[in-house]
Amino acid sequence: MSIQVFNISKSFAKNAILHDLTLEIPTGELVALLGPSGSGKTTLLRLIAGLEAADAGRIVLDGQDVTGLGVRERQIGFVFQHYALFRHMNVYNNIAFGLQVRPRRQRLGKREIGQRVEELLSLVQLEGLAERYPAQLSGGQRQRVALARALAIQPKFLLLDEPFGALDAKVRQELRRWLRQLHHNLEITSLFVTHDQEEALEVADRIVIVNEGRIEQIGTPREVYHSPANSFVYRFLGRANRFDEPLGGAGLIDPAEPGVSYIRPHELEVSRQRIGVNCLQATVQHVYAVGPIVRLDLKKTGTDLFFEVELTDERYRELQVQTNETVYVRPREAKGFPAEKALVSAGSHISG
Amino acid sequence: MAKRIKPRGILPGFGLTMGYTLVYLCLIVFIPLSLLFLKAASLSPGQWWEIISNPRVLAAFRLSFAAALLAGVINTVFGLLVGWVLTRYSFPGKRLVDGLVDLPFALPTAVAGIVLTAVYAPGGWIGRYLEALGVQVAFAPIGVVVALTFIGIPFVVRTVQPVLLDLEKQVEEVSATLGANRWQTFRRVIFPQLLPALITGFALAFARGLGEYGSVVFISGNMPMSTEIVPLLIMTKLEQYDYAGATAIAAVMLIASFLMLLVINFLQWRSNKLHRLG
Repeated sequence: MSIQVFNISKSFAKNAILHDLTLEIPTGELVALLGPSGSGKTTLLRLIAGLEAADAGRIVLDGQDVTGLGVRERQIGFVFQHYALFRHMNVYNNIAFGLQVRPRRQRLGKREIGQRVEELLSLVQLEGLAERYPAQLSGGQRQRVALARALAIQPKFLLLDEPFGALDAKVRQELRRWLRQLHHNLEITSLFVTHDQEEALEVADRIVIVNEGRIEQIGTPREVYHSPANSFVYRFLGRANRFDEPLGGAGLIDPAEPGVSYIRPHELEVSRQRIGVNCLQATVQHVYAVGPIVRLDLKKTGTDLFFEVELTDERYRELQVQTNETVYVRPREAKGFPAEKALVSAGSHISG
Repeated sequence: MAKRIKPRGILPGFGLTMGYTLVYLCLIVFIPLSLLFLKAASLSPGQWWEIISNPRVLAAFRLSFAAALLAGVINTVFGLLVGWVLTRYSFPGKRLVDGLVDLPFALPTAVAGIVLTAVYAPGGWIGRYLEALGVQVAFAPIGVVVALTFIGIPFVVRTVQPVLLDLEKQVEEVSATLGANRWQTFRRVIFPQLLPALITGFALAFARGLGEYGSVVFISGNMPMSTEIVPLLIMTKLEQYDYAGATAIAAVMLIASFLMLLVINFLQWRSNKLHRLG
């Protein structure tokens, strides 16, 4: 039950959203489509579902070309960010909807439908709420009803569009873990759209990073985080400092070739004394000393380059740095990318 | 000494606005209506019954209520259709059509009546073809329905339109992903959300139809026992200085309208409650 997309293009009113995009999602995986807003990830999801028609390309679900088929024939479960529950129906009827609208010959009996709804209610941990109306539920409960409703028709694929986007941080955290668990139990091929890199890294088996209608990289969370294919992926997956010079004593970037270096704030080491050759001198602009991680805003001496450093609270107390003091910073690890050309470059360990 | 703090609402001016509302309603609605009942009360029950049970009066009541009801139903069906087309699709001249919907509001009803009569009269543009089919519209009860349908169009369209605009597209998409066909999506997902607005639109169109006078008198021909509506009958009685008779009929009309609107409001309250909106 794999999802295959071949050379898909789509534009809205002459704005090209997807460019010749090809993607394969293997059976049973939980995959995140990650990208900034406007990157085309939701459009891709809607194309797979059949809610939009592609301008060019093919979509193959479970080995069957469904490009010309409507949304009803594709056997997908779709969950929207804002739940899209039928607000004039109670939870029971919302979940049973997909079973009740089947053609008479394929329709289950009343009692079987009731049983299925009960099973689904216990699956999404909403037992006893069958008589409630959507307006009487919390956001997290509504999203679980939406999920149960999508699962009721036993879809081959589950597509979720920013499923936790409308929920508050704590509920989102819970539901993420719960979705992981659910996917583990059901083993249904699932694809979810998100713009939250943390969510993608935490929940997905595999991440597809989309930008401006193209795929930048596909890989496991570890792969995309530790070996980003290009500077976009690096920047998108976490906080990043950019230095317009090949920073790398280890010589992994040819100094003759113009390049840029990216360093995560926590990969920078701060001290009051000069350490090693690759040391940067900087002044402290601001200190954010709340929580276990302390963040410093620094300005490289003699330039207008601002960057961020993260250190543990413990280290911060040892250093006792304050605004306007001069410190020395040494990168532990940097990623170099050739300037403008978004090509892969190995990470470079800088030794002192 | 502790000062008692008066609980205050967020919005000030309740006393003032409520007072004004009551005075206004009394002057415009309650006092004239009570006067109507006072006048009607000058008749003894026997006299009153005699006026009401007159065959001509009964026929007028039948026609007025049946025609208004029928026109209301027609407007509900076609008003929904017009509202649907105007909100769901885009086509050249859409704004013009949208503007046309309000025309029956603005047009003097007498003008509407004269125009409708000219068009539907046996020799008129449409009437001549209907005549060939053996259907007579003008100067027949159907004419009353046509006139009432005309003046009632905007009510349903204008009450349904905002609800149609507010419908979430995603709800329909979900319905399709769950395997519902278009008819099932309309019947089970869209229609229940429209129902309260449809009932309101129907009630307004129906109520307007009951009271309509200007356009009907031209097209109906005003034949006693056949095409005479209640408002006309009241007018006739007044012209004959039969004030008590006019008020007796008016009072019955008022009570009947009030009861019907009460029932409609109850239905609407129930459908709202059933389709609890979050």
